[in-house]
Amino acid sequence: MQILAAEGIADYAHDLRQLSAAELQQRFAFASSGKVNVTRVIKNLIWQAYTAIRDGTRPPIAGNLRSFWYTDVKPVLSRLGVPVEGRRATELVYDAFVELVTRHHLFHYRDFGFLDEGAQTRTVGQTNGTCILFAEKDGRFALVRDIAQAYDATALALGGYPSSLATEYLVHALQQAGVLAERPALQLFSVVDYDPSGYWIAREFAAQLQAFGVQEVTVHPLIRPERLTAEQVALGRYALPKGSKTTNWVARDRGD
Amino acid sequence: MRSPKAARRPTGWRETGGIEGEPYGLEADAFPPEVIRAAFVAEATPYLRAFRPLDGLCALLEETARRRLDAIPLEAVVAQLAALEAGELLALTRHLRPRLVPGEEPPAAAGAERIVQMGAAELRELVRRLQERLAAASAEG
Repeated sequence: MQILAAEGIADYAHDLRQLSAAELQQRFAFASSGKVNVTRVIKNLIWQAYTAIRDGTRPPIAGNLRSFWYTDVKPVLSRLGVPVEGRRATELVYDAFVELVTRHHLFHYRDFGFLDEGAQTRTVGQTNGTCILFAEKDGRFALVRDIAQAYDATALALGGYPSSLATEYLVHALQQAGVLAERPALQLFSVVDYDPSGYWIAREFAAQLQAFGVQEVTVHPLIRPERLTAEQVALGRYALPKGSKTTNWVARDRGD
Repeated sequence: MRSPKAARRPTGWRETGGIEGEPYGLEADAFPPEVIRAAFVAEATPYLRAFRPLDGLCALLEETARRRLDAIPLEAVVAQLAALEAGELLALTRHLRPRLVPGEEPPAAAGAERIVQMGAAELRELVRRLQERLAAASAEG
């Protein structure tokens, strides 16, 4: 397969998790510098886990992405002398999954047996299932659920920055319920903070849905200052940190 | 978790930012529930299809499912279901699935299995109540 070759992924006979540092170095080092290509190591570990689970020679993960990091990736990278503390290394794993799942479509997250952690903060409507009322914070799930259920719409809480894995499970649930059958289009109604982070959370969620094949996604931000009285705004507003992120966000409102 | 950079920008996005052009934000939690509810209704109404919750039917279904009296053959159930209009059947399935089958998003087959487990009298009563309820809802407009 061309994609696998382009990504430097191969079907290795040996379990990569059991190779020594020297053996890993031999397979995954850059020819020029001799340094290990960490991204390639991670992608091959993911691919090897996928094929083993698919072929029934290994049980499904039955955990989350972090479980996979601990069981399959962290020990290997540590053996290679790669720093494994902090967010940098784990983000490499998350990014590798996103690339292999949503860009190359090599497999689904659910093929690994990852837990559908978002199921507890999601309810899929039938009559209006393509209308999704979502909250940034888990604490607001009960509210969005109650509002959505009155119209048989879909509701969920993202629990912060949207997870690609949870979005895949959401799209799968919508497909299973038959609400995406007629036309893959969604209306998103966002309950996110009115600040740059909220803006990017809603936008990222929409982008993930599109990456999973929903052709048309329209976002309707519900949290806007004009929905409150001037007194409520004055009491609730907070100053944003200075920086380009804030400047760009404010500039959008003025149409600069 | 990041998405691929190639993902397209969503359509219909209303650019936002600042309060009167100044760098201030607002927590979503600062918005009372009734404000969020009203905002959803205002924004979503053009996209929402009519939905009637049939709450009374749900209570009946839960009660009849708990009793599970005399089991009847599948053929009899099919005959009863065949008498339902498409809209009625959809409503019935919609309410059976989450309420009678444990777990999240059960398959339709599981909902059907629960119907099969109902007694003939229960099923007849169920259909009668459903038709009454839908007729009343229809008359209300």
